Amino acid sequence: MDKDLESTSRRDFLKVSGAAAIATAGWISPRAAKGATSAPIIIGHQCDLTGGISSWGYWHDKAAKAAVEEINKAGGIAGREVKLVTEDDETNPTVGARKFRRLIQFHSADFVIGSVHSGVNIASTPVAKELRTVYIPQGMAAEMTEDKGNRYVFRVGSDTYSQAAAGAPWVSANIGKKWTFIFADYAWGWSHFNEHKKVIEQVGGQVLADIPVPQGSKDFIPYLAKVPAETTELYSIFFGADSVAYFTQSKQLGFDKRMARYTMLCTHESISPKDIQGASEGIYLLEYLPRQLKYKDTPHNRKLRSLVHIDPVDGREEGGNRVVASSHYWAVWESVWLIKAGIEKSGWKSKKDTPDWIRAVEGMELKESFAHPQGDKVVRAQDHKAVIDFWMSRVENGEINVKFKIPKEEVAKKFPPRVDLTKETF
Amino acid sequence: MARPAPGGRLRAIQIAGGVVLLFLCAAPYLLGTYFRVFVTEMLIWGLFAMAFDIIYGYTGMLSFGQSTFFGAGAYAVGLTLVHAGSGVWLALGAALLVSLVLAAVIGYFAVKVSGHYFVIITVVFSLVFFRLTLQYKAVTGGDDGLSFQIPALNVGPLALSFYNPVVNYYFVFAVVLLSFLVCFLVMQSPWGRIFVSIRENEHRARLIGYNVERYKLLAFMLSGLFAGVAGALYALTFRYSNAALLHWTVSGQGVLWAIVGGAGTLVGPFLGTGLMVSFTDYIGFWFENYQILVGAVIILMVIVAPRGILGVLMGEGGKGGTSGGR
Repeated sequence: MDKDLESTSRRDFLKVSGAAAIATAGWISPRAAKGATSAPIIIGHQCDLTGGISSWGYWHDKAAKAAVEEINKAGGIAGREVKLVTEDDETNPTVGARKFRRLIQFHSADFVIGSVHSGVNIASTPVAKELRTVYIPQGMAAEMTEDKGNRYVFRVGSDTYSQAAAGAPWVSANIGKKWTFIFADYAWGWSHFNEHKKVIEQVGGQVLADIPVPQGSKDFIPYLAKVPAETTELYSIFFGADSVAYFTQSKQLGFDKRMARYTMLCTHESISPKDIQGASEGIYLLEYLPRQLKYKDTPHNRKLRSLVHIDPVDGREEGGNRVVASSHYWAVWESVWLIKAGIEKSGWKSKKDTPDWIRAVEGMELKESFAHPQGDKVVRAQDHKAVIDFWMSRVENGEINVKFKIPKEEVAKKFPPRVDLTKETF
Repeated sequence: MARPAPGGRLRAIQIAGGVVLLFLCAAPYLLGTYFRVFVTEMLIWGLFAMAFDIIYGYTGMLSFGQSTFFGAGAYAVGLTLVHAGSGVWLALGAALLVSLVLAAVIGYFAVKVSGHYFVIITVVFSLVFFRLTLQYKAVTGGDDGLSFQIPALNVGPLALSFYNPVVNYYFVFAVVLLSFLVCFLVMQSPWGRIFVSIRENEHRARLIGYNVERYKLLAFMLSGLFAGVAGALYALTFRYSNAALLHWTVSGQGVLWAIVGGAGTLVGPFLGTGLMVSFTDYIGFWFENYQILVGAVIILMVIVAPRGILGVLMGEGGKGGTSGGR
């Protein structure tokens, strides 16, 4: 026998092989066979629990958990329990794509509700097709349900295309025609710019400048200094700490006096005007579900708000300081219910029935209800985008007040489908 | 220099290494779909950490700039496939060329300084290329990244699809194994010995007549080349590239994996990558602020086992510094 081998003690060998065993622990664990019709339906949630949009991710997580709990309390879907598995994408496209894969291949998710970060969504959409799994992203970049999308990707909420169609015509006609854009320098910000530019030019407005700002910028002054003096309308789109920096510094430089400021509610999401000492006072913004209960005081909306425990005015969490992601959390709630509606309509039993689910949801009309408290909507067959109502609002005395509602029929006029995903094979 | 490991321990490690190699050969047939991709990813990151270790563990230069070459390799594959409509082999060739040329250019300036200045210059280069990638969004996709389709890989009469995870795994495994063998031969050659002599005493290496800057540049280019290969494999596996891949924090991960596994070795970085990536993947599901735990593990490792896990296994846990070429 080899002398070295002879002197290999059992302890030495166990120590070395132990390290390898730790590294591979769980890899080869037997998994319960899925596919039996009594097995739970697994919904994966690719959620921004940490990172730049974690203040929204908190509410998305809460909404998804509440929806699954309510569905299970009422007997599940088609008699089957629903199981929610959540993975944190760290608001990072590379991590997000890996977590998307993990949700499907490790946790065996049947459907996945996506991040609100457009970069994460764009990284995940090709994987959705590759793994033949329905993906309902919450990010707003229009491309995800157009040239960068595929037949497995659906929306319940709005996107930059519908937002531009809803808000830009009225703002251009009533506030100002000379627009400058200052926005987050990634897919979402660019998508806002491109979509608005098209609508503004259609309605006779003019784009004077586009000013992309790298994410995480603390100092906005060099970017604000580029805003042309003749601007009548300064359009901004940021999230989180960047939003606060934009509101504060544009106010300090007197932009609120020299021109109108307009944005999507996204820029004010999870931020109360009261918490930023009037920095956003007077700003116009487009909401996708009013933050104040009084502007959508329906039993269904009241019930949803009670489930996530928020106050009627600021949307602040009871017993805490967090402010609800009011224009986005409902879409996560409704995404879970859309999955249910699709399963019930198509008779979906397992992943192999996913094409039937897709065909059933293409063109589905959703009536305002406990499942869909935001309002009636249509999930358009051609581009899988949702046609929904919007609200034009303004920050006044530290509150976000609705000025008027923009019905979905009005939005649809400037929001025709640009692709036809129904032609794509599975 | 490192104390030689007792024969018994060394042999135990060799046996365990053989078992791991056998496991890797059969992995696609032993693992489920997720872990098949997971091990593929670990091999890629392990190669990246090993590439970093050429410059750090063997040559004694701490670089936070290797992510530039990883990102360059990934983007070279993506852009060649998207814009040139080329095949996989040409895309891989482009990745090798781009990362090698970039490493030569950056290395030319970086190796003129040492110590803290070298660390800073590598971080600065990394940030410059990261910002450029963000800036030229129309080409690179910036923050959102670039998704692309991978054509079939032509090997003789065979057309192999990267969308088949078994093909993808074996391709990555073969390239990583080949890269490991090339690095092993280089480190056993006079070049490898000169790298170690520069790490151990740069002044003495200069006095005995070696052109230290030239060998540092050589080590930097080798490291950049293999980091670029890892980036290319990443792009082929995930069909995606993103500006974030060039950020210096990606280099930071390579640094940690190499140190945890055992710097100054070729096996240690793979071991560190395997353990740390598994740890974060598992813990991350249960504890969203898992990076706190990762930090604690690293602090513990640096204090208790400065030579990394491989050092502990070889009975050298208490010795400081890197452990010499193995």
